[in-house]
Amino acid sequence: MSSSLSASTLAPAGFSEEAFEAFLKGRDEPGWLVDRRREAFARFQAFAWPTARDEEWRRTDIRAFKPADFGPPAQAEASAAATAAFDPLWESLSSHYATGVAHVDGAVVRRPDPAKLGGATFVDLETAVKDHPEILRKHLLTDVVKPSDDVLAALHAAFWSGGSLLYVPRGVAVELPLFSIAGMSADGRIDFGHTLVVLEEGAEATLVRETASAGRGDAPGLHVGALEVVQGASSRLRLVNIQNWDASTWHFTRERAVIGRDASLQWTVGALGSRLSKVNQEVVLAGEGASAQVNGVMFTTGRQHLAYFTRQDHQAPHTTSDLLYKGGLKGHSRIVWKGMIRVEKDAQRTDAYQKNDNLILSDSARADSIPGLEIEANDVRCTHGATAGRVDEEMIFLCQARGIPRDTAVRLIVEGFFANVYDRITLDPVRETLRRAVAAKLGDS
Amino acid sequence: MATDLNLQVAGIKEDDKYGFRDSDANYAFKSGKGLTRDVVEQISEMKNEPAWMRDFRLKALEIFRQKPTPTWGGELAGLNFDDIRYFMKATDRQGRTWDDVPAEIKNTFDKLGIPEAERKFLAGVGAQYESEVVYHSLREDLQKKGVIFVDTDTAVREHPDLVREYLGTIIPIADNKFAALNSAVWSGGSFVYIPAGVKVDIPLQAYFRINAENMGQFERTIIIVEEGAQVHYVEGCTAPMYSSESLHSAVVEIVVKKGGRCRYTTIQNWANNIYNLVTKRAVAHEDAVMEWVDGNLGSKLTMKYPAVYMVGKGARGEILSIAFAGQGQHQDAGGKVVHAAPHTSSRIISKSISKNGGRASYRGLLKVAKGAKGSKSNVVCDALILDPSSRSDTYPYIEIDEDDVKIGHEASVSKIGEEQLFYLRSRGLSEAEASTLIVSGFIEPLVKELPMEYAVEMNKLIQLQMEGSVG
Repeated sequence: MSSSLSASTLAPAGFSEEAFEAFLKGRDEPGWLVDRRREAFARFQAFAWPTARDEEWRRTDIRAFKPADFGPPAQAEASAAATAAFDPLWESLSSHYATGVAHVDGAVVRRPDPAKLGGATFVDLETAVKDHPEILRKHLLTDVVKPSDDVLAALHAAFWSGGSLLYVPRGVAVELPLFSIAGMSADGRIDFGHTLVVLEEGAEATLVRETASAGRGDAPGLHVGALEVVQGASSRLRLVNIQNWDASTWHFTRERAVIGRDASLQWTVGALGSRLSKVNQEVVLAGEGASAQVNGVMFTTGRQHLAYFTRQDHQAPHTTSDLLYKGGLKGHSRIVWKGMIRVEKDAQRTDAYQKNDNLILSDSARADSIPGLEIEANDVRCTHGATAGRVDEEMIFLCQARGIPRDTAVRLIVEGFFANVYDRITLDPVRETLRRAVAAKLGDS
Repeated sequence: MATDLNLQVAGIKEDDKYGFRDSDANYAFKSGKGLTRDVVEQISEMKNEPAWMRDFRLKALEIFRQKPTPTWGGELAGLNFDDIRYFMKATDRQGRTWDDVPAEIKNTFDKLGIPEAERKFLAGVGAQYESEVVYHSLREDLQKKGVIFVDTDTAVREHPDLVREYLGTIIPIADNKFAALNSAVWSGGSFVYIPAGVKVDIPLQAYFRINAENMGQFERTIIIVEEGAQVHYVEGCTAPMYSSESLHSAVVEIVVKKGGRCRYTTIQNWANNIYNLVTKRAVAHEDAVMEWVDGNLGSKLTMKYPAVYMVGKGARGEILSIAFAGQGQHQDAGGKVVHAAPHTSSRIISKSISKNGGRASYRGLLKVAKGAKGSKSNVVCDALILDPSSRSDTYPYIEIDEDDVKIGHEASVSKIGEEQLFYLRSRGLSEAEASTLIVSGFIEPLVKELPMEYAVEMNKLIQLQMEGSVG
C-alpha cells in the first residue's frame, strides 16, 4: 500500500463508469489486470440486477439493498484505531495457528511471518500482483469463479480489492494452519476481498478465514467477495470460512473449489453474521477419485436472512462428496438452503450425500430447505435428506425432571443438535469458535 | 427398442397397430384445429350449455392467452396449441345401459382389454370416448343412497347448482396456463357426489383414451365427499401410438369435508407422443383423509403434481406416486402438500425408474404455514436408473413457517444392486428376469395399494417395459 490518500477522500457514489475509472486511477496495476477489470466491468454493466423472478433470488428479497449507496473500495490505509479493534481476534488466531494476514476496511494491516509458512507462499493480493503475476494470470477469476457467473461475480471481478493468495508448491505439506482476517470497522463500509488458493500436486495445507465487524453500529456495510480453490492431483486441503459480519452488513460471495485426481478437501462453513447473505458454494469433483466433505453450521437471530446455495458437481468417475448443513433459527430470522448434487454422464461410481437439518427455535422463524439431485450416470449412490423441527418438549421435561433449568436444557439440546457436524470438524479451535458463537447467539433474542 | 405397451396390453401385434384406430369419419362432430373464441363458443353451443358455463369458458380463454407457458419442469417447446383439435363428439347419445353403447365403441373396449366380467362388476363405468362419456351405469343401491356419478357434461345439465358451487373453486381458472386451457375447452370427466355419511365400498371407475391425431383431451373431474362419507375413485388411461404430438390436459378438483375419506387412483399409460399436463388438487377439511395413488407410464412428457391442501385441523394427506420413464420420455411428477391447519399430517412416497435414456424427475412441495402447529410430514423418494443413458432428478421444495413441526425428507438414487442380481442369477434366473423381479419389488409399496385388477395390469406393464432392457 503506497497510497497516502486519507479515508475521507470521497469516491464517486455507486458503481458507475466514472467511479470505476477513478478506482483504476487510484491503483497502480499492470496492463493485463486492468484489461481484465475492464472486461469484468463491461459484463457488470450488461447484467440486469436480480429480481424476484430469478430462481436464485425468489426467496431472497434485496430490494432494500441500494448499490448506489455504496462505492468502490477506497485506497486508504486503515486507521490505528480501526486496526486495534481487531487485535483481540488477531491474538486469538495467532495463538492457535502458525501465522496469518489481516485486512481492515479493505487495507492490509498485518502480513504473515515468512518464517512460519512451512514452504508455502502466503501473501496479500497486492503483493501477489507484483511478485507472483504468473499464478494470478493463470487462476485469478479465469476458470473457477468467472465474471460471467452473475452480476455480483462481475462486480467483484471489476472492483476486487485486498485479499490473499495461498500457493503451495508440489509435494510441500504445510503442517500448521494459516489464517486470514477480513475486518470492517466504524470507518469502513466496503470489503471486496478475494481469496485464491492453489495447491500443486501432492501439496497439503490448512487455511482458516474469518470475517468480523467492530463498532459499526447500524451503518450499512457491504461485502462482495469470491473464493477460488484449485487443487492439483493428490493434494489435501482443509478450509474454514467463519462469516461473522454484524447485522447491518450485506454479504454476497461465490466460493468454488475445483478438486483434481485423488485430491481431497474438507471445507467447513460457519454462517453466523450479516443482515442478509447470498452465498454460492460449490465443490467440483473434476478428477477421478476426488473427494470433498462440506460442513455447514448456520445460526440466525433477529431479522437475519441467510441464503446458501450449495452445489456438488461430480464430473469424473469414482468421486465422493458428503455435505451436512445444520441450521438453528431464532426471532424472525430466515434460512434458505438450496443444494444440488449433479452427476455428469461420465461420473460413474459416484457416491454423493447431502443433508440439511434445521432446528426452529421460535414461532416467527422460517426455514426453506431445497435439496436436489440431477443424475445422468447410472452406477451411483446418491442420497439426500432434509429435516425441520423444534426442540422436543419431552426432552426438556426429561432434563427438568433431573433438576436442569429449562434454559440450560434448551442449550444442551441445541448443542446436541449441532454435535454431529462439530464431530466432523478436525480443527479443535474451529469447533470451539462455532460452539461459542452458537451459544452466544442462542442467548441473544 | 420402443415397445408400444398399450398394444401389448391389449393383446395386439405391432403390425396391427394402425388397425387400432377407429375411423375419424364416425365422429358426430369435430372442431377445427386451434383455439379461438369461435371454437370455444362452438363447444358450448354443441353442448347446449347455459350462459354461465359459456361465460366461464370465455373468461378462461382470455386468461389462457395471458398466462405464460411454464419455463420449469419439462420441455414444452414442441407443443403447438394451434395444431390441436379441441373438441370431438363421438356419438350424440348417452348410453344408459350396456346395450345402448355403439358397437364401434364396445370394440375399442375389447381392444383395451377391459374384461367382460369386470364391466359387470363395476359400480359404474364412465368410459370417456373422445371427451364425451358414452356409457354410465350405476348400481341401483348407490343411486338410492343419493350418490351422483355422472359425466361432468351431464352434471352441468342435471345438477347445475352443485357444479356452480364447486367448479373452479379448488383450482381457480388462473391457477396456471393449463388449468385455464382446460377451463376453456373441458369436455367430459366425472362428477362424483357422495352425500354425508355414505360409504361407497367398491371403487368407482372411469376409463379414458385419446383416439384421434392431435386431439386434445380435456376432462374435468369434480369429486365432492360430504361429512363422514367415503369413496375410492379409479381412473386408468391408455392410448394408441401416433406419429404427431397430442395433448392431454385434465383438471381434477376434490373436496373432502369433515371426517370424510377420498382415495383417487390413477394408472396412466399414454402413448409416447402425448404431452400429459394435469392439475390435480384436493382440499381436506377437519379430520378428513385424502389419498392420491398416481402411476405414470408412457407419454412424451408428463407434468403432474397431485396436491393436498390440509385446511382443517387433524386432516391427513397421502401421495403415493410412481413413474417409469422409457425411451424419449420425461416424467416430471411428484406431489404437493400444504399444511394450513394445526395437527395435520402428510406423507409422500415417490418411486421412479428410468431406462433407455428416459428421464424421471421428482418435483415436490412441502409447505407448513404459520400457525399449523403440530404438523408432521415425511417425504421419501427413491429412484432406480437402469442404464448409463438415463437420468433421474429430485427437486423437493420444503418451506417451513412454523416451529412446532416434525418434518423429514429423504431421497436416494441408485442402480440395481449387483449383489441382488448375483443372488437371483445363482438361483437360475436370467438377468432380465432378475432385474424385473427387483424392479417389481421396488415399486411394491405402490402396487399393493392398487385394486386387484390394476395391480395385475401394473405388474404386466412393468414386465413389458423391462423386456430386453438389460444388456
